Amino acid sequence: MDLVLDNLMLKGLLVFSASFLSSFLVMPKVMDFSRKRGFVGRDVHKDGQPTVPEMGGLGILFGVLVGSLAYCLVSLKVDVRIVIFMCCTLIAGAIGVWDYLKTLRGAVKTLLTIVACAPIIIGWLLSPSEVVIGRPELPFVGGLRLTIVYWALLPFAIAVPANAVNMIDTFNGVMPITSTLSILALLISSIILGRWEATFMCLLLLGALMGFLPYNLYPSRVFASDVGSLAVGAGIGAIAVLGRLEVVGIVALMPQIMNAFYILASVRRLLERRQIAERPTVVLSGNVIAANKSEKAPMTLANLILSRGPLREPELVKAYAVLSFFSFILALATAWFMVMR
Amino acid sequence: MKALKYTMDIVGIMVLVWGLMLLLLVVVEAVVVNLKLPIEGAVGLLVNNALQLAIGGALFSAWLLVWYKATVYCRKRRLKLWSQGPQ
Repeated sequence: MDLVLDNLMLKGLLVFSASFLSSFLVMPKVMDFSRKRGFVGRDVHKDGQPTVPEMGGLGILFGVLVGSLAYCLVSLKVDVRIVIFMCCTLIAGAIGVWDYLKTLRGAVKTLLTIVACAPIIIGWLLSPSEVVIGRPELPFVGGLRLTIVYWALLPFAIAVPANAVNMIDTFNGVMPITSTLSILALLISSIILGRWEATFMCLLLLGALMGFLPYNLYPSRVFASDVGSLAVGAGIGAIAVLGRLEVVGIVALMPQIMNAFYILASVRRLLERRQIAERPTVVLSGNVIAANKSEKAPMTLANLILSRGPLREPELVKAYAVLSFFSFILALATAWFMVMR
Repeated sequence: MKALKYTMDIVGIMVLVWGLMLLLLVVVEAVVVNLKLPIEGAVGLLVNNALQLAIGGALFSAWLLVWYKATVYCRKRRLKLWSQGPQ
């Protein structure tokens, strides 16, 4: 048992290091590439609205790719679940690139992200003994018996987290910080429940995301864009489904899901952010951000946090981190209830 | 810490939503899925499944409504506190 654990730990460390280093080291190249190609965006929450290179998500995708290859090399086999996870992430990233270049409508982008679920279904059809889906586990009661409903909802298992993570990516560092805590919750839960493939997928994604994090923290030197946020969200969704950690995944993504739910409930349809007439927040002098009190402004998590009063951007990001930390605790409690059953 | 002060009631909503979600899932698994109407045959199966789906859907909608109403109430309260606070 000790030998197995040692091997797992060593493998995990290697996979994490490979994805972290590749993502961290490639990021300056991605920034140069984006600047040269004119893939830049304005940081609207700062005085003077400086331009920042976008498409930083390409570095995250590179990290996931290298980490997946490293996993297959150290395992001396091609693991179907790791390949499925990688495909889901890459497909969502490709949709992000397409959206960035062509600016897709909100509903079209959401529908396209459903396609990112295809590798899971194909993997299940080709290798049902390895890809076990359709029996999500619940705290207290064990396996859920909603088999037909589960299959009906499966296409959204990737689309919902991908778009929820995409929607929260509005301030410097928010997406990688909140996603890191969500993945950490899934990582610890997978260890508690002994779902080792999910552990490696978490380490892969965590490494790639942490390689990106230093570049995206306030003040951001690069933005992830839809490429990064859709890919990270799809990766989290794939981990939850393949690791049978669906309920833990929902709880770990609570701030992102809350944000998406508030936007949908207040706007009442799927809109691209450029189609929304009023912004949920307003920038005051001195880089201070306040909630937009207008009835027409969509209710977002930022709007809700700032409804207590204006904050500077780093303080607002800290508030997001606090919410993510509590969802991390709740996700671990959920996993613990699954063990206690 | 300012971030903590700004998020405590939102954390409250999060805990409420989490608790209700677990309760909802347990009720669906332990009660709704076990519901059986005294109708035999394919029609009975269809009606039974439709009933289970309707009850599950109603519970899910109620959960979303509680979540949304709690958030709207919380936001109104926070905006009031903001307007009463030092400018």
